[in-house]
Amino acid sequence: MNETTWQHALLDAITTPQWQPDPRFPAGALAVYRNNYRVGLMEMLALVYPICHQLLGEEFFEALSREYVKATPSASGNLHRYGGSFADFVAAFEHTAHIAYLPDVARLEWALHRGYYAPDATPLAIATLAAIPQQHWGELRFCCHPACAVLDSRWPLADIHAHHQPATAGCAVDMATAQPLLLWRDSDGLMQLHQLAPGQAAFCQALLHGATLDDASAAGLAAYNEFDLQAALLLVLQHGVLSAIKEPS
Amino acid sequence: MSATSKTLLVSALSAAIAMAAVSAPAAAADKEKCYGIAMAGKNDCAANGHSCAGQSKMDKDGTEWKYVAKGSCTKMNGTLEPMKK
Repeated sequence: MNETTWQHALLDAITTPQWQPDPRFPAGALAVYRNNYRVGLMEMLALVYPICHQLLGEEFFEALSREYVKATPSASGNLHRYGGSFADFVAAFEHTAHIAYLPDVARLEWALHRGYYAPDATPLAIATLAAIPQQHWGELRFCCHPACAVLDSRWPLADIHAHHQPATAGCAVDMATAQPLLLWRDSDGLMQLHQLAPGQAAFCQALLHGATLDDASAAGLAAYNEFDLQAALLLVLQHGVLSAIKEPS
Repeated sequence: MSATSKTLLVSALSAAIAMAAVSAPAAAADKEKCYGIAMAGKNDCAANGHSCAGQSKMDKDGTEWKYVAKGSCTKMNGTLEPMKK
């Protein structure tokens, strides 16, 4: 067995969910590696999903994260990329499936986590936009800031988030209220939540997906017939959602 | 796109540009971006899930699921079950 084969066999023995004795590796030593691998990923989940952790409690979250790690190998050498399918996992897992808002809370936390580590981008200069002839505005498509995300949720995500922050801990949450969110990163590099008005989620989502301004406006109007286009445009300009104008292809 | 909505976009964006120009977001230029910096609380070895943290903790490999959620989901609105829609 050459060294590469041996290394792959060792990695497999460390990451495989079920313990299998392997004559090539001393059981005691392998157990240390297996434990470190599992505990490292579980602790990462607790860091990425602090609200889910608080919602479920220490013991439950730990047991849940153990199940997730068993079912989900790490696909990247970068631990910050681990855990993106946690929302789908809790939506399907039999002991969490009844907590209907939990997957969206996990999606919020994943978007905040990925947004924090997303590459930097300069916001679009207002002058650049103003310099384009008005008759072409509708055809414009944009590159958006990589940290931005839209969560079009039927749950009160802003309130649930606030409920679990030290400064606003325990504030009231009305589960009947939908709070779609725009996530953006401020000039200090911190992720911020902005609660979206009706139609704005569809508008912002379309822009993030590279739609033209005309199509994004139509998406906003289709979602809500009294959609305030001017407020939505101001919102994306002020929060640095738009980063550059895409060349027409 | 109809002529009406074209006009709508032009007037809305003209107004938004004018308003954004006076209340521009803080320029990123005055901040130094430290790319890749860790979030507060995530920046040390023990907290970042690195394997050196693992040795201090032995994980039990539970086979049987008998856990009940005891966190804030039981307190928020006093119920675990969200309102039925």
